[in-house]
Amino acid sequence: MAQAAATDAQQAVGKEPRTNRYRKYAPLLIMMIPGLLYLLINNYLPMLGLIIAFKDVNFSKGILDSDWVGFANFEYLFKTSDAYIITRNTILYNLVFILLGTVLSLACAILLNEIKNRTLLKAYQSIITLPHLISMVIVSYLVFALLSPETGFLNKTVLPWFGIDEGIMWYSETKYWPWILTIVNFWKTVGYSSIVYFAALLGIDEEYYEAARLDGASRLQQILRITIPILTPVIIMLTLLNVGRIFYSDFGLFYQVPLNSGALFETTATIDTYVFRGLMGTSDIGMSTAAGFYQSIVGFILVMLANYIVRLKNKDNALF
Amino acid sequence: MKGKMKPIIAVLIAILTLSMLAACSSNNENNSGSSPSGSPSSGGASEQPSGNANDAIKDPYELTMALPVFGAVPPDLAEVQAEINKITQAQINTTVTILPISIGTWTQQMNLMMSSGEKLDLAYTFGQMYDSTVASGQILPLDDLLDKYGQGAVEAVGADYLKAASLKGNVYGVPITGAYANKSGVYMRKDLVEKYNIDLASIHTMADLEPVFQTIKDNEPGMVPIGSGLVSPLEYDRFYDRMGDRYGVLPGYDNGLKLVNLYETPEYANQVNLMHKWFKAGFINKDAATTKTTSEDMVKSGKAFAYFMASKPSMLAEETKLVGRELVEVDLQQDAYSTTSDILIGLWTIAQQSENPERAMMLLNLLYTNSDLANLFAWGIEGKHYVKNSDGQIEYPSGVDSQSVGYNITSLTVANKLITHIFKGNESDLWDQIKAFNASASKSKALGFAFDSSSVKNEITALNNVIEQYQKIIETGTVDPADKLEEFQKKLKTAGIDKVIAEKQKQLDAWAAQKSQ
Repeated sequence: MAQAAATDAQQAVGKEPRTNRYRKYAPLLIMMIPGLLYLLINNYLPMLGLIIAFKDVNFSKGILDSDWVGFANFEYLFKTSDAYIITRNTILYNLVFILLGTVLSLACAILLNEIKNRTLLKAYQSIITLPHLISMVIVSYLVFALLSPETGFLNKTVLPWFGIDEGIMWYSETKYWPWILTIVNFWKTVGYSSIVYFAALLGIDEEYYEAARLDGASRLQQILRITIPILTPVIIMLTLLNVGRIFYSDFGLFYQVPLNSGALFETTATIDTYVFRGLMGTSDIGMSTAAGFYQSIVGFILVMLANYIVRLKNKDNALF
Repeated sequence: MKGKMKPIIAVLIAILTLSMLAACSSNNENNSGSSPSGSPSSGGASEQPSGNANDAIKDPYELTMALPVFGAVPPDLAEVQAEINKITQAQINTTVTILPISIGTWTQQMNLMMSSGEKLDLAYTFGQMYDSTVASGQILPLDDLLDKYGQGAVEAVGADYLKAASLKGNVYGVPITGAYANKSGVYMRKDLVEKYNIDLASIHTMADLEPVFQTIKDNEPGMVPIGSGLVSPLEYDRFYDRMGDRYGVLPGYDNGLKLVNLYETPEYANQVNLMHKWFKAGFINKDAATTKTTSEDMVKSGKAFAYFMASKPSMLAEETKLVGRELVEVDLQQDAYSTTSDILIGLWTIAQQSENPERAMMLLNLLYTNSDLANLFAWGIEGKHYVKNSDGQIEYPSGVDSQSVGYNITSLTVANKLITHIFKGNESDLWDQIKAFNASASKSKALGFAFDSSSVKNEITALNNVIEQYQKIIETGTVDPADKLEEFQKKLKTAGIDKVIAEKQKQLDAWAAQKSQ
């Protein structure tokens, strides 16, 4: 509907002469300049650096004059035996994070919205956003406090309650890690991402709910029939933005939290950690640029595709 | 319509605010660690190199020198720099700006400075980064400069050892001086060794340590016999020349220059089996594969009794300082061996964008030959950062320790420590010991060979990942080699270890052929 409004506006201005139109919007256009400059300098100019991905960088020749090597810098991402594992992990984790993450943060926002006591609301909000402010390195030690084979809370205290005295070697058993990483990720991110939904919820006119209540709608019905439909465009927008990053992974989560344990490779290695481990010693900037380039291209294609599908279904909900 | 518009606007505002916050925080990260670079140089840039030293230093020049710092930048760096400049001004009409860069951002900062052509003359290079730094053209070949202005540095390092730094026929960096060889050794807590009357003379190999560790295990609850920290214990077991990256090694430092795959040797299998036996017996800390503490810290905190580490002169004093307890050291190898990686620990190099490489080399030469300058650089200002003892050694002034002293840099970056003061706690003839140690050490047959891995970098990247995955868990004994060793070997094969070894063998043969000419 944003677009519908825009078309209305276009039709309205279309009737005026062009010069008038510019004059009318001059202050707005001028206000736009700093933003455009910012985008240009910060987001578009650095893109020139992408040529590094196709070069054998030699600093004495300079970046522009270095030799072209075609796609040689990309080979290591596909040629290895681990290519399947890292791609699978990256995509599956992100799918879970996007799908489940949306549901959880939406639920969180709706629950927050139901709290009418201002003081309590502020307290809850602070508590659930706090994990976002904690660095992943510290998170990894919090997790370690739980999982440490010798002194961890789980092995020392929790498992004996269930009669398991032996303890589990958490950092060498791959099968637990999809669960651990998912839990840690949501613990850290749900509160923060629910703020966005919460902001959207605050914008919904109270009159809708009043009308629904008069008609005898229950709480659940109000949520399903009013809240969710109104939030749909927001949900789609945020999901599309997340889809663009589906080939990236939170480096801290996948490298720091498993303490870089080799035994857990099968379920914790992602594209980012693979590139880091492989290039740590050599710091070949051509190869690392290639990895970033590959990730963003795939993200770009997926966003376009997802947006196209959304457009097919409902034009108003698409991002562009 | 209107009611529906509102949420979107609210969301956009929220997103914008959040992303701006994020942008601010990431900017701060990027900025930390960088510091203002030196003012633009005056003259000297277009000067033609000339053999006459007096001619070459006619115009004043300001050098910039990138120095990696571990931890905080020394607060008194500017003062020390001013003192350094007094000497360099008088000697070579040059001033120096030291550019401290935090170790955490070192690689990025160097890449950035090199690609942007920011003013930089001298740069430190870590040994393991040396060949990639050369391959990407970040630093200049030094042969001519060494001939003309760097004879003192050549002499300090030793022409033979300097050859270890030659890649593709050129020397690109001058190694720091120090012990150029290593033995494998084990360091143990002295009080416990005495308490249990451990006979040190009977220990010659790793396997001999088993009864010792058993005693500790039985009698000292809450303590593991071996502390395995960040680096796995077998990294210090040196029955072979590791040839840099351990892909293709020379057993016995010779083997007729025929490289073998370390991970498939029976010796390696024996060692990892021993480690697994020890792990099962409770000799090794359970979190060995993932721990982020160092072995020294584990002994320091009383959680471990011993650890494996390289053995060379001054090492015992350094380790004692780190651990803060009395230690004893036992060699697990009869002869010390010198290999390329033992020499290339760190190097001083000249950046490709240097406007006056001649002057940079002169400063480098001074750092290797002028002991006043070397002492300033290594220890700071006398009376302020250190005081001299009656026996000629130095220590921190009273009331100051290594944490609170105003100037403290890592000895890794000191070009020639053999001409600096000896710190209290070391033997007074330490430098002579090191020279004698170097002279007596056997030389690996491949000493001086350095592998150029640029043609197999895809394989190396894949191999690095396999190593990260298996090395720690296998070499700390955490997993049973019976299950995992074969899997490890197979993974290395698929990642292309044979191709890397073949390429290295080819280069090694070419190197040997050229050497015998």
